[in-house]
Amino acid sequence: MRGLDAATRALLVERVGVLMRAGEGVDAGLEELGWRELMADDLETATAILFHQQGLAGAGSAALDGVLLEALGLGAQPPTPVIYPRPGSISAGVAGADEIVLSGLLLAPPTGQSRLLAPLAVGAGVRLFLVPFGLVSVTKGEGWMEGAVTAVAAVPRAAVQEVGTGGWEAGLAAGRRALAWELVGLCEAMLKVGTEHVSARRQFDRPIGSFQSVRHRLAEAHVRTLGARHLLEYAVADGSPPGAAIAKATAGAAVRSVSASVIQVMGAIGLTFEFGLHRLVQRGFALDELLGGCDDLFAEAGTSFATTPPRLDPLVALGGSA
Amino acid sequence: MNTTAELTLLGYSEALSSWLESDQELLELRGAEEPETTEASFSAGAAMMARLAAGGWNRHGWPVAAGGLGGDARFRGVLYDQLAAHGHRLPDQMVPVETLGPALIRFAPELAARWFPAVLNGTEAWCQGFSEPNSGSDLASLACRATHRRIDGQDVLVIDGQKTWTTLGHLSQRMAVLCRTGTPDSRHRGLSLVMVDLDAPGVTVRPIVFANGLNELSEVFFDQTAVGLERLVGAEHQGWEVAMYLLQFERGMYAWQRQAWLLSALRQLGEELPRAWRNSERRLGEAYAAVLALRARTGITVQRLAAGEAVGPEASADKVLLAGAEQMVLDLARDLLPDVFLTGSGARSSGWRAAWWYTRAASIYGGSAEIQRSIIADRVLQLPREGR
Repeated sequence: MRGLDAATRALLVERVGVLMRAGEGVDAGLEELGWRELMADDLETATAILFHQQGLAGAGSAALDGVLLEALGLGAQPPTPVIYPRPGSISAGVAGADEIVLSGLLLAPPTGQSRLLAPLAVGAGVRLFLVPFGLVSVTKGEGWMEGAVTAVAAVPRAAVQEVGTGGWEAGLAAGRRALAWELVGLCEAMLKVGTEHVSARRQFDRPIGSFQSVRHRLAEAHVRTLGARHLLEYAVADGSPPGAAIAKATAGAAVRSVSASVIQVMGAIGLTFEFGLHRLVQRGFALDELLGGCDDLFAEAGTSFATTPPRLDPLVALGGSA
Repeated sequence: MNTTAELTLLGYSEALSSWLESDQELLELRGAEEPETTEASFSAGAAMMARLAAGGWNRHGWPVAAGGLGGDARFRGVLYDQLAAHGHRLPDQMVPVETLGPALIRFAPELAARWFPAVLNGTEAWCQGFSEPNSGSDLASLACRATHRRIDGQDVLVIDGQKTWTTLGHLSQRMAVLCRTGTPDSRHRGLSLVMVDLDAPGVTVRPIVFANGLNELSEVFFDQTAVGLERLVGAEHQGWEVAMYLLQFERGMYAWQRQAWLLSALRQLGEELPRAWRNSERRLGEAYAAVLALRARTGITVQRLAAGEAVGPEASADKVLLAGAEQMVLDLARDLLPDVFLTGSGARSSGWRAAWWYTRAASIYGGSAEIQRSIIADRVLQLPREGR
């Protein structure tokens, strides 16, 4: 996939888009497309295509697990579900000397896998462990994170296996970029819903989209989305973990703002279950919380900036680097 | 010095970076007390322009015919970024260099060849005369007239009218004046852009004191001021097209200059901000993200300008992002350094206060935020047009 030509890329985008809009069987469909090989070949391009389309379609899958595994150097392993930290936590539990205590989220109910991958706090750091599925107690969630499952466990340290690979930091960065792509896609999807509605809906003998307050609200939503998208592209070019964190925070903040604007311009129709806007809005909030909510990530970025102001290479933004 | 043909963008960036930390004259300017008036700032800026031009550093990215060393606009982007990254102040003169330089180079190459080298070395400064008391957002309604006359055997345009909100007009030598050469109701079709010397007979320049107490702006009066026809930028009645061309550079290059300044302002703030008070870390991170988004977006616009591509209505997003980032950074300063704002004395304190007011203008000049949102609504989102 390196040096993917425009036509091939367009074809891939189309096939993934069709898969995402089908509404079910996404994981199986991705397997058929040979998505693991594509990720192994060019993780960033595969990530951008898949997650942007997933966001645009308001679809869901467990594809994020695959991204983390690939970024952690575990791409050749059999598919392994990841246990994600709960909102506000930096790890899915704690690994003490004798015992591990685990509390996290799975993207989907596990089916037949024998082990789960968990980032656990060890002292001040985070390390990766494989946990036997049989020892973990799972509960289906019923909230805004569709399909998600909470996982808890308290097991002897000897029962888990530490995975000695590249640090969690690399997986976290790749995961955050993927989520940022999906958040941008969700923003774009919601904006499309809003603009179509206000163009068609008429009151006072004119489309409601001809009222300045409505037009300007959606124009602002467009600018937020565009800013988040370009910042994400910049973070991909820059490749750094802090860049990934800031891009995710910006996309998460954008989805909150765009959600509010689109809900407002949709009026009562947008508040019906049938209309389906709620699925996009809810998924947006859920994805913002996953792997670092925007408030927490902005706070981290601010602390880091104040401590060590970064030196930015102008060639990254000006397209002059290799 | 190397011509741009001999230097890659990376080579230029590295050489410049190294020079910015070693040139004694420039380091002295950096170490000098922060200027507290527009006049002092302008003077320091002129000295810096001279030093940059002498080493060729600000001549990269401009055509040879206009006194440059060749290369595309990205070289200028690197210059502005590196200046701010190394803690140097961007000369005020660099704004009209970017907003007016490209328009003259494209539409009046002989004038550019004659005057632009002096602009680059700081011995001459230009300003822009578009807005009028009765023509702000509705620029096409402007009334400043330019009438054909024959004086002493020469064909001239005689200018009558008034311009306002001209940045640093009272310190500039020449002004690009957008005037009406068509009938009174010709709107945008009857406009022409003319370069007028501000010491010409009939010209009166009056500074306007800005809310921050500084002479940031001027109003300029024209009373039968005669200019030769060679002073036209573009053809007669082509003024609107020239103005629209010019606005692209305001979107890309000026916004890029501002993101560089905002990053340096944030670095200073980062040093001075109290910790864990009034959500300082989160707000700093949010402001940094806003500036990075602006940097990412305007970087792309600069690339398009460098490639000679037209920048369309999407660039209205750059303007909205710019105003948002500017105001977010200075609001952060105001909220997290209240003592500086309420009772601080000295150049640094007055600088923060002055900057807070100046950033309020970012959502008003160059097409207000409301106009930008309307453009986005009309031409990007293609929403229904506004009713009357």
